[in-house]
Amino acid sequence: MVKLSRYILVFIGIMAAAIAIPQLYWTIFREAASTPNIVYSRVLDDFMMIKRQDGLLVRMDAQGNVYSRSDFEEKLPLLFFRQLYATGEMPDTIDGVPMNHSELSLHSSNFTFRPVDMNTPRPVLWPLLESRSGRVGLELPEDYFRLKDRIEFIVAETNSVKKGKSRVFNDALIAEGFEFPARLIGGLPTARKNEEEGYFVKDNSGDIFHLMMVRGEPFVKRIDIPEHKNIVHIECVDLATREYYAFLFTDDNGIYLLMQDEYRLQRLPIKGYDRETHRLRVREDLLHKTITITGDDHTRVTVADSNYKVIDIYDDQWESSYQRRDHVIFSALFPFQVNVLTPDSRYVGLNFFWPKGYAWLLTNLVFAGLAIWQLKRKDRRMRSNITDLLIIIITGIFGYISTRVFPNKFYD
Amino acid sequence: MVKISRFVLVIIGVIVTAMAIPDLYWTIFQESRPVPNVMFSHVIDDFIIVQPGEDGVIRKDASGNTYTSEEVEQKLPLMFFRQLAADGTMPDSLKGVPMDHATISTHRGSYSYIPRNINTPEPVLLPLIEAESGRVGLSLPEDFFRLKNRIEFIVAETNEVDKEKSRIFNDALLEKGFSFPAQLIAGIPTVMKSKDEGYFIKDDEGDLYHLKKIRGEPYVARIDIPEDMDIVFIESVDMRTEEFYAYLYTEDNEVYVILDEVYYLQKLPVEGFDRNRDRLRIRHDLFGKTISVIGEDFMKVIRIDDVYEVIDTYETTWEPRHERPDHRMFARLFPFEIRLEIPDSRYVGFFFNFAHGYSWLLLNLLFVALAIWLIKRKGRDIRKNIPDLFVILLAGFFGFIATRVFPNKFYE
Amino acid sequence: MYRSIFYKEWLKIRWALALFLLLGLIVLGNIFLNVRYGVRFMDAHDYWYRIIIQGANYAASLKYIPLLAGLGLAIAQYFPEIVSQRIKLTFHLPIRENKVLLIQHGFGLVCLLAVFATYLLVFIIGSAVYFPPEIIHMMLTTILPWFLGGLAAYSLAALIMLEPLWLYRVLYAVIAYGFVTQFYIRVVPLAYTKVLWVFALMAVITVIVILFSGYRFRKGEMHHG
Repeated sequence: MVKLSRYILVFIGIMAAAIAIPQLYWTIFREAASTPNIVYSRVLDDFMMIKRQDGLLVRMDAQGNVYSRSDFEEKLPLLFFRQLYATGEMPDTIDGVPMNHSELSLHSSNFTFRPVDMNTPRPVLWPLLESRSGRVGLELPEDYFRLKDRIEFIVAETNSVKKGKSRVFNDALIAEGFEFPARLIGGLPTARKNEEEGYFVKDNSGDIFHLMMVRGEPFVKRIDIPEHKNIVHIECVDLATREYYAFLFTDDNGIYLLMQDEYRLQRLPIKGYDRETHRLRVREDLLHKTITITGDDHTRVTVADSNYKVIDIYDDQWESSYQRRDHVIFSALFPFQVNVLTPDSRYVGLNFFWPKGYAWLLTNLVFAGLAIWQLKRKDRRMRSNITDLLIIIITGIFGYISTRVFPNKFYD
Repeated sequence: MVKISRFVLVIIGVIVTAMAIPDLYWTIFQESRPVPNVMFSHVIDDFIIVQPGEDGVIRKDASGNTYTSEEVEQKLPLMFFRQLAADGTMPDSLKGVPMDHATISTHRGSYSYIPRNINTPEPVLLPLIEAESGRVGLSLPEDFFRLKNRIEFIVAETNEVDKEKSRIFNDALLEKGFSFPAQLIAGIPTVMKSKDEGYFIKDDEGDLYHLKKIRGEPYVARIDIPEDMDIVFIESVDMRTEEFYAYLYTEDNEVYVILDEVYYLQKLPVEGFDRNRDRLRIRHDLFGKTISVIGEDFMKVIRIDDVYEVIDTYETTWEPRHERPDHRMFARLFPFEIRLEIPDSRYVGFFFNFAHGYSWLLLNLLFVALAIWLIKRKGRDIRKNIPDLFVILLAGFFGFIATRVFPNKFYE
Repeated sequence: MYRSIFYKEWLKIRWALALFLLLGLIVLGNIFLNVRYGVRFMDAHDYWYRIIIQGANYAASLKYIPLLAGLGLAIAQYFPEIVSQRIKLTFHLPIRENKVLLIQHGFGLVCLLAVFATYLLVFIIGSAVYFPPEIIHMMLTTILPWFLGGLAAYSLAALIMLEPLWLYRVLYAVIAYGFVTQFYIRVVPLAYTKVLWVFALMAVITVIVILFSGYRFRKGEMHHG
């Protein structure tokens, strides 16, 4: 029993060491990685980018030509229109389309979606704001709703359910065919946006419903989703152009836009997206949509026109983080790392990071050898320490430290 | 010695209870008394006062007519232009001036002064931002400057002084007659503003200077101020109309604005304003400004036109704080309270709030009597407890608790 | 005579001192590793901006270390006394009881000050590598109250432990909590500038409070009632 309690302590020690020591390593030795910023130039009909090389920012095009800052911005009028208007260099038309500051500004938007945005705890209750108050500016309501087996509105001041309102909204959902319990909900629970478009809710049978409050009354609309599409995440946006309500992410790594008013699903013309590891960025300007998917060692930039037809695609690769020097050294020292928090999630958990390769085995054997030497020196029996040595061979420095802190000394 | 030790403990006890118990009292009993919101209407050429009260919100003008919420918005088109435009009730012109959204918006702004602004620690170093970079948008420099016996720029990356740049700027200041060390410096040390106007600096002799960085070179201007003016506080503002740079406060409680480019000191008609006690709320619009001086028990509102001439004034008073029920009850219970933090300062300090009047004496005497009874009951000598009774007489409840927690029991 | 008192106290507190010295140095090490990381990965002037203009506090993880050290030292020093009522033996020495108590406590205080001085020295040297004097001074006004709070906590914890009656222990603890928390208010940088001297005085005068409960302990408060 005592031995069991010691092994439990050794295990805890290994976990603690595997959290703290690698963290210390990265704080000292981590190298900066920067991904290139790639944009499409209508003027050049080609891609342009800003990269960090040897600590300096370099602006170039896909052919490798280097640009000064002002030349670079001149070739990207749809992006840098504010600067170009200020210096008077903005062209009047581009490809026959007249340029106008307010139109350019209206159509400029930037949407970024990272794995951490999906792996985030959701609010436990939601505010349903009035969508058509007739007033400029949105106001938070006095109640919050929960949506599980039924919809219920709870008044904040009294902490009690508003039975009438809840019943009316519940009936409206059921009338449209909503099947409780709700599985997923997406929306923008804030008053700081241009318009209130309510929430999009996925019911128990996988259908999507649009829920809004219009002049106090419920607005519920069922949205047709192709049978086989399983939607796993809904991310709403507040576009000035009101072109679409939200991004829908499907099980098979598809990305769809839910178009405003018509509720049509527009698929984004991209391939190879993995929502658990890639960063998605959708940049819009007056004439194009630029969709960028960035992974650990590559990026793919897809430019499409206003109808989502692909114009051009650009691929770029660089050294994977696994190939960088800081990782290589890490993999020679530590067999693994334990993280309580990772950059990809806001949830606390026990996340294991396994470096590539087995270079750490050598280090582990060195520690095992050290342990054996210590045993011999103290003239102890090897056989009683086999488990310890095994632990050190597998967990390396973590196991070595842990077995020293909780020594294998038992008296008969 | 032991008695001194006990005495120290009693003092600590009084201090701690004088902080904690009043704090508890206010958490339970504090009433809020919102200050009226006074605006000037160009439609009726009079003040409109919005006052939240116990029976709802009162909306009236200075002549006493009452209004509904919509009517108030109609009478204040420059303030509610977005709502009126959405409702279609926005007038085309006002006072002969066409109502154009961009102009209304640019001329709209507000400024607020509270005593805490003057009791706030200053940043220890400041960034001198490039004022004319040719770029839309400001960026932080790579160095920070100190202004003591000379001006010195320290480069953040190397933590070293940029000797050349410091010398150039120092010479520029000396050339204009600057006398080190600086007594006061004010600016807006952030890039979140429409343009950079550098800093206003008061030198050792009380003169006022303007320092900017223009295309890398120093810009220094000496501003003419009256011989005997003693500037105590300057607050820079970022006005899109570029009307003035900053508000300037003098020892005699005068308030000026420093007019843009010409550096003329325009006095504001705020007679009776005390910067250590009162608040200022200044709202500006297309036709002028509405200045509200808000004191402890009064409010004085002055409307001025675009050449700073007084057009109209409005005054109102209310019961001073010490006459409010929550304060009255406090004064009957506690002789004083101690606070380490107060709303009027960001500094920590020992702030004593003495209760108004002497109604607490009665309760204090009761505690003294209680203490005497306790002493008699235990058959102890009153004479040995005189200092304690004195403490209770002055510190009331706090003293009573402190002398019970650290009992006056000494053995022969 | 004094030397034997010093030695007796030293035997009691040396491990606690070593522990807190090590703990503080580890925390400080971590602080400066993070500063180095911050300066390297953010642009240095952005990092400075966060500290100077936005009030970011790179020493935040040090906040409660002096408090723990003060409490820990008091426990190491006085717990043995009360557990075995050993302090009564001290009072049989040929020196006045108050003097003995003050010498004991003074010795512990000096040791605690030495540990704090080490922290401060490391902090100042580490900061000087990356930051100019203005920032260091600003940080010192932020962290000094924490150290002063640790000193006050040391004396007040001793007071509480030596008090013979449980009821009063609890009452003292409540007062002590209200007192010590004032050294740890969450405020903007430089907020304590105007009261640093007052707080230092407050921390110093708490040294004497131990005499009160020492007296009560000696006189067998529970027997007199």
